[in-house]
Amino acid sequence: MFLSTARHQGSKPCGRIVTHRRWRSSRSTHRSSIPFEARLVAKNTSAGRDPTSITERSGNSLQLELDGTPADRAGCRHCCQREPARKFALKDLTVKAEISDMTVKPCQLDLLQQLLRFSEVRHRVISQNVANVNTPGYRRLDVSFDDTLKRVLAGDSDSGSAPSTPEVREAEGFAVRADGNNVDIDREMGELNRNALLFQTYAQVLASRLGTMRSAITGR
Amino acid sequence: MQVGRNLSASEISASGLAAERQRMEVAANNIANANSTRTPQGGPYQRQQIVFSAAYDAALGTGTRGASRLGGVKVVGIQEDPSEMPQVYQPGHPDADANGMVTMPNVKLPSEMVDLVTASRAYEANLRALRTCRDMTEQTLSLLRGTG
Repeated sequence: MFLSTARHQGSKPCGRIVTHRRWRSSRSTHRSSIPFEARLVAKNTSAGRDPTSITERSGNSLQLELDGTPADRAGCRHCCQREPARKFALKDLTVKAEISDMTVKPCQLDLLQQLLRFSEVRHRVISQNVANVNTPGYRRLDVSFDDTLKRVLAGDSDSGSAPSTPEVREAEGFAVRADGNNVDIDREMGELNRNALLFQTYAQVLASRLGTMRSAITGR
Repeated sequence: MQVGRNLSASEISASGLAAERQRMEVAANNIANANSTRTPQGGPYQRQQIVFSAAYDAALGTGTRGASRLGGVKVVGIQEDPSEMPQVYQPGHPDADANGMVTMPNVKLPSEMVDLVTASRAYEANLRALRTCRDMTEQTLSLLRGTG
């Protein structure tokens, strides 16, 4: 956004060197086809402020503020009847650039990571049940993520905070055999298959997200 | 996948495989010695049975039951079956006592066969869990490869 000065050329070039503003203002119905350009010269400053101060503020956009006090409107009256050239007295010129914080928002990667972790925990619990299918007095273990998952899905502000550990507890309501064991091997195999498919789903979704990010970064 | 001091899912499944294999060996030993009336300790062969125990990682304390405490299955030991030994009347037998009764091992073949089948099914189930764990790990690694 800098630019150099441009020689003012109107219908009748007068040769005055003025500085123009580059981007369009609301009043830019200037007939001239000169691109408006503005020069940022850090002259100054009586107020004692650093003219090129850049303040970081959390936001999502890059804003640029250019303050200048227009000087006399003694612009080019000869050829520029409509829009007198504005000369900025580059006295108190401050540039405030608001840069958004360069962090990647958690979005869905956090949720997918949690889901993958939960799947792995559930697989370990199922493995424990399968390994103890012939152990007398063993009660089937189960994992519950529902409350944790609901919280993550609700998208609360601290979704990137410390992940909570899923709770492992003994499952109720399954038939107990004569040796005190209530593990049903067929049910465990079904749970194993289901969990493996869910894990595969989460991994593939995560892979596609990462692929999108990668192609956005590399541009291919 | 958890690597480190916690037992991973593949170790849990491996402990199940080892336990079921030992159970099969014990059942095979019982079947082979179903008619052994003499042992190095004297007396007939007594049926052996294996004792399993669910294992939890005691090193992590007895706090909340987390998934990190799962330890698979552990073989506590192999014990003699104290049930009654059948007595058969065979006067000509070298091991017959004064009354002509021979004490036979208390091995019942049908129950040993059922134990064998149960152990082999459990072994297959543990193998399936181990294979699934390996597939899940491979999928996680494929994320790094970037072809997903």
